[in-house]
Amino acid sequence: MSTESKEILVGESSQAKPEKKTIVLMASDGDEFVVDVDDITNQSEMIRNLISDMGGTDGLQVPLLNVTAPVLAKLLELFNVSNKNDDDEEVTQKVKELMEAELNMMIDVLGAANYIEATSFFDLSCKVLADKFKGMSVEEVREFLNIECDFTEEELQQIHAENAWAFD
Amino acid sequence: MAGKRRWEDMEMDCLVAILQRLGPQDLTLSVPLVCRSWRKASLHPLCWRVLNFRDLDFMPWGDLTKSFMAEYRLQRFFFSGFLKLAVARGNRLVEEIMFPLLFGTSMQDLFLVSDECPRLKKLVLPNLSPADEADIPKIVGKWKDLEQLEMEAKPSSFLEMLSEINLHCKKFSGLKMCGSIKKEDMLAIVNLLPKLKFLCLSKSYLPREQLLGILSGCKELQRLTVSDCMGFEADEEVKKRGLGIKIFEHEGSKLFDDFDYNSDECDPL
Repeated sequence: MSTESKEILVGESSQAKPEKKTIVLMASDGDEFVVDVDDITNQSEMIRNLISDMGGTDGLQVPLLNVTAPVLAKLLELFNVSNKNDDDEEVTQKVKELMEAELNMMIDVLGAANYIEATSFFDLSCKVLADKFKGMSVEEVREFLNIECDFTEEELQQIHAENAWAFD
Repeated sequence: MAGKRRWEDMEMDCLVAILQRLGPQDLTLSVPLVCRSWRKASLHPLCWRVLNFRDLDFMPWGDLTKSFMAEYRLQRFFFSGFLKLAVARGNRLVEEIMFPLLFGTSMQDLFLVSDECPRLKKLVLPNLSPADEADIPKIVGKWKDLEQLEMEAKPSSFLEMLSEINLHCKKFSGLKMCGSIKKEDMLAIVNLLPKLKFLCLSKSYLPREQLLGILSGCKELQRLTVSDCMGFEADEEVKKRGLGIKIFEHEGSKLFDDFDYNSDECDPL
């Protein structure tokens, strides 16, 4: 499951190359992640704008209130894959693997990507999920997502009416 | 895996961002019936911004027809109704429509789209009868944001259509069709579509003179596709004049019909 997520961090590489500029991202539980400025601004519009508003990166700490440490670690791991590859093939594959192995983590990663405005990564992840849902029956979707039908009889009637009116 | 109700708790904008990548078939037959939050997301206009009907089967014996009638206990199912439903969901924010090629589209459907989809940017037309083609100029001007128009065959009302586009569609930049391109057609393209960036006339009868007219007249062209045409060969002069265009595709075009009727017909399918 999420065993490897915490070790693979951008912080490690930033220590190896001290000449590179870094900032600190703080997860909701207080854990700090040192990230390379170019790597993160390449992905996140929110952080790009923040750095430009602050007029620099010196000692910058960005609290991400909605993102837990495991989710942030996983997101940064996927950003690394994305930054290292010119095309989207590799990162698409990684997102697919995550979706199949840890669907709940995938949802959180998606929410975090949306929150920090990592637009192209977010779009890519949405596409991976949508491709999975394409052509699935209602039962198949429910089974894949492990959710139950929560409709009342009245709501089901309403859904029927919402779709049938155009064929009178 | 823990967290059974997580998908229901997902933020609505994330869910909409995923579901808007599904087509109208999934958005009517599976998505709204999954659970409350999926139903709510499926009614968001963003999910209906792009309406691609091209790959759907509207034949009476097709899966879509059968499934829809069974699920919603209908006596009949037809394209016009499905379009009406999708357009209503789009809440006047629909930006792209790709009609099914052959089956079931009438002029009434196009009138509906011209009334209810004022933000349309891209339109892929169905095959229409010559009588219906005459009505295209009447509606095309209603789409002020129209950028891209695709059709199988050059309509009989082509020149009037371009005049309307010239008057009303100030952002128009892409045209795809095939047919016999005469001098007046070439002049209309050059003079009435000054911002044309993408032009595809593959499988057309395109005499060399008209191609050269397009090459020198369409100043903004970034991509010109004239593959498998008849009427010109990509000689040195043609290639030289096409150098200024980022993408110039002319594979398979030739001067004369060499009686290979299998490949150079304008294929309606």
